Amino acid sequence: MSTNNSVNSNLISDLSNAVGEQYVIWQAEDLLVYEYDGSIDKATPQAVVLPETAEEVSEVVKIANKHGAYIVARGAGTSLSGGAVPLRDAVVIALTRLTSLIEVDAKNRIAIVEPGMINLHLSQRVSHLGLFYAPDPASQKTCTIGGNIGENAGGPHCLALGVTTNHVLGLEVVLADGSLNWFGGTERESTGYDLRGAFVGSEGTLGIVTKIAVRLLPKPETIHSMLAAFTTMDAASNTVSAIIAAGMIPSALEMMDRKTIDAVEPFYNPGYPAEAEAVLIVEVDGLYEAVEEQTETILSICNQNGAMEIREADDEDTRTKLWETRKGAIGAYGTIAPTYYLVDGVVPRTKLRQVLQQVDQIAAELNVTVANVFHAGDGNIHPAILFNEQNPDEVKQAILAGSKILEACVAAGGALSGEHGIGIEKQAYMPLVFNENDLEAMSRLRTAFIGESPDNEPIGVPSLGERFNPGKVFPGGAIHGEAYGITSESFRSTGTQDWQ
Amino acid sequence: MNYSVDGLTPKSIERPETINELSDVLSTVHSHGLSAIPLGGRTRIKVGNIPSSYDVAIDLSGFIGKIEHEPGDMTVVVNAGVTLSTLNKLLAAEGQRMPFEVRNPDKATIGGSVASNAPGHRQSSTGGIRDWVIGMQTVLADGTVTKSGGRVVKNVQGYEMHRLNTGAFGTLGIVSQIAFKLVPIPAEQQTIIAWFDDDKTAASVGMSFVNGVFMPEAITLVSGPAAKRVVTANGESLPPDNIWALLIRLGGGVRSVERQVNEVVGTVGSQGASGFSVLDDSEASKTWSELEVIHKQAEISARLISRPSIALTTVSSIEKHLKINADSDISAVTDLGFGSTTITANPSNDAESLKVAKLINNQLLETSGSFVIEACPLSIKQEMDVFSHVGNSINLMRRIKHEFDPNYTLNPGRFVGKI
Ligand SMILES: Cc1cc2nc3c(=O)[nH]c(=O)nc-3n(C[C@H](O)[C@H](O)[C@H](O)COP(=O)(O)OP(=O)(O)OC[C@H]3O[C@@H](n4cnc5c(N)ncnc54)[C@H](O)[C@@H]3O)c2cc1C
Repeated sequence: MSTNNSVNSNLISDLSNAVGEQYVIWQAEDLLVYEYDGSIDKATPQAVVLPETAEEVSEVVKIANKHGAYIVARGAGTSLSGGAVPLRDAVVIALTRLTSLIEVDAKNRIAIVEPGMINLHLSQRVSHLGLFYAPDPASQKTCTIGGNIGENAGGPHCLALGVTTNHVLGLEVVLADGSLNWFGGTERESTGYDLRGAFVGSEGTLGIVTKIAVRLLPKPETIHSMLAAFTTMDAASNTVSAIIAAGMIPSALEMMDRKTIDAVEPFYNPGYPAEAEAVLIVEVDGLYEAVEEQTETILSICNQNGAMEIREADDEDTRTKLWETRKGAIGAYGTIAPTYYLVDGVVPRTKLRQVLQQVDQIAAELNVTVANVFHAGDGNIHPAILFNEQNPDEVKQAILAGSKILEACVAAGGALSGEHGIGIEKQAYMPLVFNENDLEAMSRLRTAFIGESPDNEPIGVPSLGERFNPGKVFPGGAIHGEAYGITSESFRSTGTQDWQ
Repeated sequence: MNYSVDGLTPKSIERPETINELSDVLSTVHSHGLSAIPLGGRTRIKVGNIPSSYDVAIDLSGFIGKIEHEPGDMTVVVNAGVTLSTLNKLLAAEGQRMPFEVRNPDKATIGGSVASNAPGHRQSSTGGIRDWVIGMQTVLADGTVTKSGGRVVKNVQGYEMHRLNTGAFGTLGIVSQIAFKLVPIPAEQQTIIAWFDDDKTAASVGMSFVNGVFMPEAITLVSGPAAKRVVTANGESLPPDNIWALLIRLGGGVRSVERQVNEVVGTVGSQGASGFSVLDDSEASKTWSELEVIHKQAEISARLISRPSIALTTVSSIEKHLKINADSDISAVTDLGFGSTTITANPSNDAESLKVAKLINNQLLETSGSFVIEACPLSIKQEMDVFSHVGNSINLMRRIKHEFDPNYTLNPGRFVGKI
């Protein structure tokens, strides 16, 4: 871990000249809040800059280049994979002052925003036009759209509507040389390589987004939410499979297990049945007729699978109430343990039952507490490992359990991440899915964006190849849990998934 | 089989059927410093600039060994050489289908469609191919086999190389296998055709559906002589000459489609359509395939992607400027949901061809959005880049090409900026 023991005063003064002294943070105690994100990893930045415009961002990149400093873009810092943790003494560019809604074209359903805009604010700002922005991470009250681009964020309603990348039309990006480039535009597609598609989900390693053109969708005519309680996780998982098999893609299909129910009961008092081992939330929207048709089928599937209680909501207030346990679940884990490590893995929907059982076994074997709340509809599981970070043994067990869970996901034909990204957390597991050739091809893309790292680099000059967000995504960049004494020897992943 | 591309013929033809064969072919081509063009069903092989060299044809129509459909997961992993029709037939047995359509699905391969980002009518509702690709295997120019993404509906693990390769026209690698998300086949589908005698009404009625409470599966405005062809395709008695046709396909549950049909019929009836008709299945397929024929036969065809309202303005100004060329048979097919328009022309002679192509090109250059001249006489191709400019990001695109194919082995000269 790096510490901020040597302040580069030339760098600080160049940055201050560019953006104004009050927008450059470099005193050790002020840097503390920028050491971590929503994950368990941390590192101290050299300085934090808060530019106000794309041009200032470009200026800051050039200054960092001049001083040989790495750069890490930061939105709200809610990343769960260590994406916003500034390794290698990086300068953090916080985009929280770039929050404008630049353009709304209601007729063509397009908005252009700055990256620091909070996700939920966009939907609120266009609501009077009957429009909304679809990707809705559970963190949408705080996370930024720039950060969503970084992680290709998803959310409960991405089942039917797609994740961030499906809603981005164009990006203005500051590249490593400080130049401003447009990828895509305000149209659905554009000629040339799909640079915006390659950029979304690149976790801040290829450049810094300064403007984003997105698609907006018309609000549905009606929304119907259902909540069903089951006596077993198996019954709930079977219900998920049966809904999909019936030829439906609901707008959301979310699941909570008993531990999560225990955590949310004292907060929200939903009064779920005492014998419920799983709660499923299903939502459908669209035309009245379509919603009616789907609701009938879904209710009968729930009943066939032995739902012990079903609640329904078709007005805003009841719906908010029905959803509040799901939305507040992660926060409520605080009642069970001081810290959570939220694992993000994906399995084929048909393997949900099997993998959830494996998660249980792993928890039992390693003696850790795991609670589940997740996007069941797309097989995106989020086992939350609950532990006490003051106890090094518990930390180690938590990280070990996380690695076992991800191995199980991959072995079932799934993926290492559905929406939280690789960051620091999962880079060591990348070889579970990708072989050297796959990773080498990915690094060629980064080289095209950033440039090759020169041989015989003088010590202290960052490798040009990792100008942005160094040490992320690729194996070997950093160690997950290093702050807690985890070493590269602690875990070793083997084998490569072969889906060809 | 005809392997010529823009008048050039290859010195040899390879027909790999397995990934090892494909990898071997490429590594041989690469080590001999030769150039290669991968071909699928050749339905879109004419799209692109003239190749700067063409030694080896790599015919992928036999690269069909694998189709792994997981109905419960609504995913499929498929080899590049499989045609859309073959795949859809298989998926239909489980009540599922590919989320996108392409022209000429009996011939078009999955690989060629992905590589060339092929358009189709259902883009109105389901967007482009890129939105449905979840993973990919590609063989790089030197024969290295690589993959990205995964085969589960949602995954973010490393760079999304599969998005980069979608629409890259095989200039970064040969797309050998693709994983897709699928969609269920709706219980009910209906097509309505309505015709209007002024373009403004047709357009505004069309846009009212795009921004309404339901999105039609497909919504297309046809202008010019093609309008009359689609209207009469199913035996409708001859409408007047200057008409604009709106084709709307609706899909969903039985009751939902019933409601949609009622709304569409009510709106077109009250908003001044001069006629409309709710088509049965066979009439609908005749009508939609008439559009395919129009695209296929066009000597000149240019596809613009822009904001829907801008596409409409462009269409009307092209109509105004080109009306004089009455025998050039100029039509426009506009996807109102997606925001794209394909302008087709069949000029009567070469001189006229050149004139029309230049006029279309000039008009598109003034429009915000991007375009591709998908078909035109070779003499015209020689004079221009068939792809619209991409601004300063061309520099990055060149660097990407350089990283993946420094020797310009694959499809040399055919892409944007003659990459
Ligand atoms: C309680 C909770 C619930 C969550 N629920 C979900 C969920 O349902 N779905 C989901 O997908 N995620 C979820 N997340 C994770 C997180 O909120 C998302 O990853 C979010 O997209 C991060 O946004 P941010 O603004 O906080 O970005 P940050 O954490 O600040 O940054 C994330 C990454 O993006 C990069 N980045 C940030 N801004 C830019 C920019 N302008 N240009 C280039 N790169 C940039 C950073 O370098 C970093 O790599 C949750 C997190 C929490 C704490």
